Amino acid sequence: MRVRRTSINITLSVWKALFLREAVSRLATGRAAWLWLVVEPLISVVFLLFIFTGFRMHTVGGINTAVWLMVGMMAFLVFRRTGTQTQNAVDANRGLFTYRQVKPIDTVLMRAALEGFLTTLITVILFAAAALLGVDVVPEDPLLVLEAFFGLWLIGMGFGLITSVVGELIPELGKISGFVMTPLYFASGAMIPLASISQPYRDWLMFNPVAHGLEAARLGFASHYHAPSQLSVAYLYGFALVLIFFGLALHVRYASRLITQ
Amino acid sequence: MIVVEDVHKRYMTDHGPGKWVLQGVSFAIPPGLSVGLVGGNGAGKSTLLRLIGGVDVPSRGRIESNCRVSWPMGFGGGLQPSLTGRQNTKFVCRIHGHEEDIRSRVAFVEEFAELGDLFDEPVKTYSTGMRSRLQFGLSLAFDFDVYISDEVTAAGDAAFRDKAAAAFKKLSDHASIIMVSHGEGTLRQFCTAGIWLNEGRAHWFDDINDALREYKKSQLNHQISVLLAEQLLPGNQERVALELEKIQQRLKAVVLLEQGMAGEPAAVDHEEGVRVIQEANQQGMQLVGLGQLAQLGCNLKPGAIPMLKKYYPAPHNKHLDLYDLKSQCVKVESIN
Repeated sequence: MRVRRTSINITLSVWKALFLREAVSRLATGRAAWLWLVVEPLISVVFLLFIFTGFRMHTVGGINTAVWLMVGMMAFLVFRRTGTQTQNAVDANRGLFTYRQVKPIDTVLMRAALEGFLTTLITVILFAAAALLGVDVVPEDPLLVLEAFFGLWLIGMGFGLITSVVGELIPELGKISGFVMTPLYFASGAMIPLASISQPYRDWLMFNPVAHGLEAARLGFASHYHAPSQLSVAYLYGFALVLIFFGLALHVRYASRLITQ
Repeated sequence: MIVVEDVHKRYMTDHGPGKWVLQGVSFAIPPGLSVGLVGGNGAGKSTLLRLIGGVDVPSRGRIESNCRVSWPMGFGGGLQPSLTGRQNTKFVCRIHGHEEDIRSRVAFVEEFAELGDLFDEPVKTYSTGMRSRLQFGLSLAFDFDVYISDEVTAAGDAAFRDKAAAAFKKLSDHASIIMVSHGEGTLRQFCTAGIWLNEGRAHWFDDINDALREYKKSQLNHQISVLLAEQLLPGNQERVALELEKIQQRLKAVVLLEQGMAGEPAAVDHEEGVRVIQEANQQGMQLVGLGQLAQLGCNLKPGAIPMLKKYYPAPHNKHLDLYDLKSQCVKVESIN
């Protein structure tokens, strides 16, 4: 007779299975799916770099334009990819809820984990490539960079936890969260230095936690970077905590509704 | 042991809570007893299976089991369409905590499902039969005390059904099955007891044949009530009257079967069978076809046929031959 597995054991094995299942889908569906994961940010960065250098902007806020762009782009992608991928996690795994071990929350968490892992990997690859091209990419304060990226990942996960439930229960709202991402891209300072924006608009923009994450990551690369004075990593984490709390609460409340629909 | 106590279930629809699918279902399934669920479309059979399988929770009431229950195998559930058969198999092994012997289990499923090269193709390219084979193989790769099957055994070609039945027979000394199937032969073959679901309630029968008969009776009664309503419409009195007569005859036959030889159809002796048919004839139900009798849950022994021929005059002999054929069909079905 086999020993009865504990809840933790079951959850861990489900997480592992889901992580591998998601990784296979993400990397092996379609032609060279893995290539696009790298090429997409690369094209954005190269394109923006081309425009910035066209305007003879070789530094932004006191640091190298290439580094500024890459850090901003990858930091934003950690948030965006985690947020958008987790949003569809429940729907994409609907068939697997036949196994009572698999709960909707597991699929969301594992998609978030996979996106975080992949984006980190891509960031490392891009920076290694930049280093080979002679750009100075060694961060001055690596811990702050990690802190910022991790905070952005948490925000993305919180966003996904909420939208994955809301999008299932009220499909109309799910569509809205889809086009929130583009304005956020501009409002988070991925291609505009927020410190250069005049008051009171900068105060307003700094209500956006993603902007804090992006600027903190850049500050981590160069301590002389002109970050907005409102920058606060604590705000980023506080916001993420609230989002995740609400997301988890929604998942607990609507667990059975998500499965039966 | 699985205990279902006062279970109610309804689903949320786009327009608020839907109507009750199950209303106060209670029963207990002792260990080792295989049970067949019968009932019309939408009677809540699949819902009940999902509840027992722990996929869904009842709106009210509780379900308890102290044994290892499989997931409900059935239409396309439990397979991720974009993954291959092999990847799906690995996934299921992993969530059941069989990381260390994953190879042997995958090999078992591959061998059992007989999908060939398609085992490494995405499940979305499979036909329904192939999916069922994979699902069936998957569930057999694990040791459960109770297997839950939603029509899955009925799928596949004859050869596969043979294999599935053999596999189940092998399991049956230490495991049982709870199944929904529209194939009566399948139900009789695998199940001892039966549950008839009707209007949100469950009726327990120690014998699956009784459950099937009760289900048939309710269906015939329903048909009659529909026809009676139709009769009120102008223009189709004659047609309806004819059909009504037919159905009422079938119903009478069922009732007679119940009085005469229901309960233990396998133990029906020849005289008893003959008596029922004679009685039916006397009551003016001349041609309750014997084939129909067989369908209605009467298992006449093969030896009864020459005897019955005496009581059936010449033009109607062909029904007996038909019955003979039919009984062979039943036999074939039960071997599968």
